[in-house]
Amino acid sequence: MSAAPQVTLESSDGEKFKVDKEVAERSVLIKNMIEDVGESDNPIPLPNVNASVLKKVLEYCEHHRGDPLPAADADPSNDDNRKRATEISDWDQKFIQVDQEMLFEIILAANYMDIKPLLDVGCKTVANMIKGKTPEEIRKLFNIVNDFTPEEEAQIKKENEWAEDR
Amino acid sequence: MHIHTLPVETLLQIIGYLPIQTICTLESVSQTFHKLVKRNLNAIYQVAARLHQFAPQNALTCGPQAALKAAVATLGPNKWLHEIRDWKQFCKSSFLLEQAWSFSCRGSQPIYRRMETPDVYRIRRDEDFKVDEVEQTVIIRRDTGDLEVVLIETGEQVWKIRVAAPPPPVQAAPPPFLEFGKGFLIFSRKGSNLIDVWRRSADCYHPHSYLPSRPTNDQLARSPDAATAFSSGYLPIDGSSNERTSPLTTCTLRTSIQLPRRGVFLPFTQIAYKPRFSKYSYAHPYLAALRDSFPRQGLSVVDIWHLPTLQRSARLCIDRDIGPVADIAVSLTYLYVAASQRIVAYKWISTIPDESGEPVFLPAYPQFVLPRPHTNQLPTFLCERINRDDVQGSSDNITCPANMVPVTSFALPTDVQRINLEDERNWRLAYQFSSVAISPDGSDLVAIAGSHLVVYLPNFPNRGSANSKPNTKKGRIAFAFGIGKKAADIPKLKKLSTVTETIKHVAFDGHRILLCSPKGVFAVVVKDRRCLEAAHQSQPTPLPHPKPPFTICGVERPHFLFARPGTCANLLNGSAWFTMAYIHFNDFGGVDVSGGANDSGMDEDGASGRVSAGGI
Repeated sequence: MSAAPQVTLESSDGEKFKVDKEVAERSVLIKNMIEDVGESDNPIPLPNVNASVLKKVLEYCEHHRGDPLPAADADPSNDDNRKRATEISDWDQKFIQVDQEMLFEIILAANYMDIKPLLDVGCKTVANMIKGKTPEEIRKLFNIVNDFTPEEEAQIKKENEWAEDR
Repeated sequence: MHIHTLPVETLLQIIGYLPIQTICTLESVSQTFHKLVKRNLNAIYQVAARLHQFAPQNALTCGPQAALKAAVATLGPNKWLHEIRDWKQFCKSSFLLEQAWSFSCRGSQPIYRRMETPDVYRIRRDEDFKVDEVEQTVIIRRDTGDLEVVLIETGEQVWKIRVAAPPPPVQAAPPPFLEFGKGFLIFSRKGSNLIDVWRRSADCYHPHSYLPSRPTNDQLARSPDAATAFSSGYLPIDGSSNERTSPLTTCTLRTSIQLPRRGVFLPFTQIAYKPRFSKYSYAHPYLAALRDSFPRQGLSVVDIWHLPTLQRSARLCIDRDIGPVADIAVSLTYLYVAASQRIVAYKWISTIPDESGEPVFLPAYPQFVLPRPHTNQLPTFLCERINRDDVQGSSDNITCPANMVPVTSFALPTDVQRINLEDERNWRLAYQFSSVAISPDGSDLVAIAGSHLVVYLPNFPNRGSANSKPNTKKGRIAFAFGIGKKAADIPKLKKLSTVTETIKHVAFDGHRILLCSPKGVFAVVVKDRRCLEAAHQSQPTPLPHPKPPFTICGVERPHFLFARPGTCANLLNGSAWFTMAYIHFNDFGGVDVSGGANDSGMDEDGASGRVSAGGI
């Protein structure tokens, strides 16, 4: 009995990760690459992902290795949209409790490696961070500079007055 | 790593999880976010509309043309979504609407169920419609004054009255109205001081010509002398005169007969008012017409016509201290008069002899001869403080007080119910009553004052609180809803334009209230009272005709149906009909929101539990 087939991934800073093929194929990018190139022992280069992020991403893939793959043409509008924003499983929530820098890196990596569930988790987490905050709080949270003139800001505020919490 | 460096599609995905309030906040965070939202405005707000369930889940109108086409094809009754051009505006109106209704009634489940019926008829603003359940037709009053009757199932137009030459315009003519019930169709034309009364042709051939149901062919065949139908000519009445005789006693009968066609009406009479009338209300068999008030005297006159005999049953002068009359509503037991700040209910004195609730003057007709009504059976009104000096005036119609009102018809007030808004909390005083609607038995009342709906239940137990003085008057306002803001935010409420928030139309059938306002269409369900009756022994006033074996005790939360302007509402046994605007075309379509006629409908026996359980 041979072990499960394995592939090697290479991060942008040259570190190599040997993982089960099944785990690596959570990423649609890698899955397609393997299909295109065929089985080979050459490491698969991931020039946009550094080692620490790739480690984190692989941790996610490892935990979710058994999950059914989302259908490629799944209609996103069929989701129960109201629940979507709060529906992050416990493990994912713990997993995504990282600093902001890492969070954005994970989102970018998930986007690049085409791991839709992970991208969803990341986006939901950012959305939850923003939700219910004032503009000033959001700027502080993400270190955004207020580049509006006072007139512009007042104008936008007035346009959206109706949505303010009463 | 900065949030601005994330790819646009990722940022859009993040925004897709945000509620509308936060999206609006985000716009004012930075130029980057502002531009991002502005550039993808429709896509973002469309997703948000789905998130808030303002729009159905399958709504998809942004995207490639092919996907758009496919989506529209599957939308079915939600085709109107395709016509939304500004999703932010749509979100805004829906959001404000939800906010406005949620203050007094959180947590209840929606009561009205939308029937998946596509829009049926195009109805424009200022147009009006009624539904004839017996013949399964819709009667539409067009803006031009034309009347159309179309079949419900096919939409085929079966009958139409065209306005011939426009009548000479009457100064400050009343807006046109349309009333329908039990075979009589009452309408007025734009700029005219005439009230037209037509009757369903099918009824003209039936011995009991104004029974509620359409005669079967069998019945028609057995009809003793079908040839003696009414003349198709007008039998005009001068509503301004003080004569009480009926022109019907001299009417000629038609000799030829055609089988009645569905949905066809024949002219019955025309009532002329000088200088003009301003409102009328119909509850079979009575038509109440409000003659315009004479500003100098502050006097309004209400005539009650018994339609089948064309007799005027009563003429009522409304006291000047009530103020100008905005609306009237008549039933077999009460006449409600809504003045600016007060609603006065007048009650019939005489009990109606027929216990079954059938019209009083049911003619016995082997010969189709209408009997002269028995004058002593004519119902009369209790009128409050009629002082003959008060009704004197200089207008030519009120020169002769002796002819005005038979004084014997009026008695001193013994059972006059008054609703005085001044007793209620001050905030409601910002409005004036503009419209009233009553339940078929006449005892329950809803009224519109500006953007507020006031529900009045005569026998509602007085839940006097500690700091309110005991209410000795019988009956009180049970509930009042505003579609403005929270009751606490009254200064804000005044700031809003009352024009845009005024409730345009209300329909009330004793159980359900349907409201049409520029903000949307709302449904309110009135709850069964039986559970409270053990606690409060107050018995309802005996009514001269059978009352359903329940009374109402409360009102469910208003459930907002559509965040689009509505103009006209109709409630029938099994369905609710209302107009709603198509965002883009500014048109209105009548939509049937219920199940089959008897399927989920309200039963006559008052099983109102089913109403709150789900579906009208």
